[in-house]
Amino acid sequence: MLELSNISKSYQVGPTRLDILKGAHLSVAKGDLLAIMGKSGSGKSTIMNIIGLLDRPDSGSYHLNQRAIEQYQDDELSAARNELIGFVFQSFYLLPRQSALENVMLPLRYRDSPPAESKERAMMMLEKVGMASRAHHRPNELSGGQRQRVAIARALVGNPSLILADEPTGALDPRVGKDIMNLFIDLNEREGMTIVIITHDPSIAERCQRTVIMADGYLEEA
Amino acid sequence: MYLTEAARSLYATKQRTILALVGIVIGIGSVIALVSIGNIVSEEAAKEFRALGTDVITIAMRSPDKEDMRKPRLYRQIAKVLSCVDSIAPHSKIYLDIDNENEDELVLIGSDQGFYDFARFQLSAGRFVNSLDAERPYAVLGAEVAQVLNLSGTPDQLIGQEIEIKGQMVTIIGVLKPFMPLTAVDIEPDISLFMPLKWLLALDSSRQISSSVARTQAQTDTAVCAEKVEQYFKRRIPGVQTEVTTAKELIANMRKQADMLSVLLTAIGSISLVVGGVGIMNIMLVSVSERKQEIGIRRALGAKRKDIRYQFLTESLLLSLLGGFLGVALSVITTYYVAQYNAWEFFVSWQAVFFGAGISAGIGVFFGFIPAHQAAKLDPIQALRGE
Ligand SMILES: Nc1ncnc2c1ncn2[C@@H]1O[C@H](COP(=O)(O)OP(=O)(O)O)[C@@H](O)[C@H]1O
Ligand SMILES: [Mg+2]
Repeated sequence: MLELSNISKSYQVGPTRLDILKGAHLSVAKGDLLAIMGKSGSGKSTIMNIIGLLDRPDSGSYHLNQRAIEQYQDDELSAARNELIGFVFQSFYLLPRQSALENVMLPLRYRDSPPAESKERAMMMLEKVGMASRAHHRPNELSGGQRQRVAIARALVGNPSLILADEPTGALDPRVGKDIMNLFIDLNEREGMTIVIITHDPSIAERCQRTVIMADGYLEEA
Repeated sequence: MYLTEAARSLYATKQRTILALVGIVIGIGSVIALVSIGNIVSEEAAKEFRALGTDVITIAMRSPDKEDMRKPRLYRQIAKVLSCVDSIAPHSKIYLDIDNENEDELVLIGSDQGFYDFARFQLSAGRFVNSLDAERPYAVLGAEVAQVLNLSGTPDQLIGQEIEIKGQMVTIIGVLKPFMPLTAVDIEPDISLFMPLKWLLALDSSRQISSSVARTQAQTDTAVCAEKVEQYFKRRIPGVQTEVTTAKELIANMRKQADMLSVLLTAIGSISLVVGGVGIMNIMLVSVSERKQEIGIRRALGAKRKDIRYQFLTESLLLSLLGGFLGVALSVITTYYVAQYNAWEFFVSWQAVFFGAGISAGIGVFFGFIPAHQAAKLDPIQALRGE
């Protein structure tokens, strides 16, 4: 489903060059539930952003659904993010002025689907994550765990091939984090959804089929 | 879709939105109010000339030899000498301060039958003054004069009453019906007292008949006649300085003044519009930098650059249209009260309203473009981090 080879990425900070990724390889098959672990600052989010088409590598090749991403124009990247990828972030990234339902509808808005249909589909997703009763609440009226559920519904609404979750439980109580993790496992097992989760928590990594470790600019199978 | 989102985000920052609008509201409001008031003023002037006729010429004169300028007959003869002149109304005026609580001002106009014929007055009672009244202390009251002088009774009852003017007892011989102001000669009949021209001249030996109005015969060229009138006075009064103006020239002059004024005012208005536009640009730039994370989230979920650009352009367009709408409302209210105050007939200039709407939309797009472009070109990752 996705194939990264020899990916490198460096940042120029003042006079020094930080080589974050030095030729990382990664392949993820359809239906995988993969955990990426590694020390803080090791480059986990960096590679996640590359996988998620939010950032481009300095060199290396990336195939997503057998298609080379390198030549994609900005608009094509936007369309691919919209159709193929669902993001879940550590700090939720919900729009504060919009209701849970409107937040979930947002990805559909960027593919011009009719509002009534979008609403129906968004409602279905909220139901799936157990948030239907809070559809008209704003993010600031919800708990952290509830916000993350809304964010997951938003990631699912566009029927993506791939869910990317960057420390999705990092800002939550361990108990609530476990519930969220159950949700991911459920999605993977019951619907065969491909999911990549970045985490610090070994107990979460344990529950994934596969774990890779980011260290010194490379990814290694655990 | 863009629209409801834009309305929402503007509503969320109400205070700032309102402040950003002040410039554009005042700019649009003043431009449209000024254009509307200008239109109303020219319409008022045009109305007067429609009522008075465009066959009118005004004559202003000055001469070193005062005696010639004190002979009403010299003027009256012109109607006989020049076939193009229908009637002429030489006159002279004095302002009278009235000692009442309103400190009203009345105008004493020395004239004769010619003025009555010229203006086509109508009487409520009595008769108008004529040349046969010579220096007799007679007065014809304008429609509102009796009230100003605290005289009571119907117009018929006023006839024969005596009033004191300039230390003399003067008999009322007539009362006029209400009549529109005569801007061409700067006379408001309703607050004027018409008295024999000779009586007025006798008050002060240095007084001249410096102004008169004439009406030309039908089927004659008013401009040619004005030229003949000027030649007549130059021949009869050596060394006279004359200024003969036709109604058409007066209208044209008024138009030109109004046009010049509106060019000036439009320039001032445009400056305030630019200031308003810059205000909108500023608020939008602030908005973009505050909402970087929102932009990043939208980009991550699949928004294209153009989606972001349209989102912010819609917001600035809505903002400026709102400003334009408030400005138009402000201008209509202002114009209404100005017209009311001056007793002009109020009307809304639709072309000014559309102009205002168009201008504000233009400002929204023009000044919203840079902020929208900045928002659109943000890198998704940097925007997400709020950098
Ligand atoms: N835009 C950037 N400019 C400079 N340094 C960056 C930038 N983005 C990330 N970094 C650096 O790259 C390293 C890896 O970051 P990241 O991928 O976020 O690590 P993590 O594994 O904790 O998610 C960090 O040291 C971070 O400071
Ligand atoms: Mg990270």
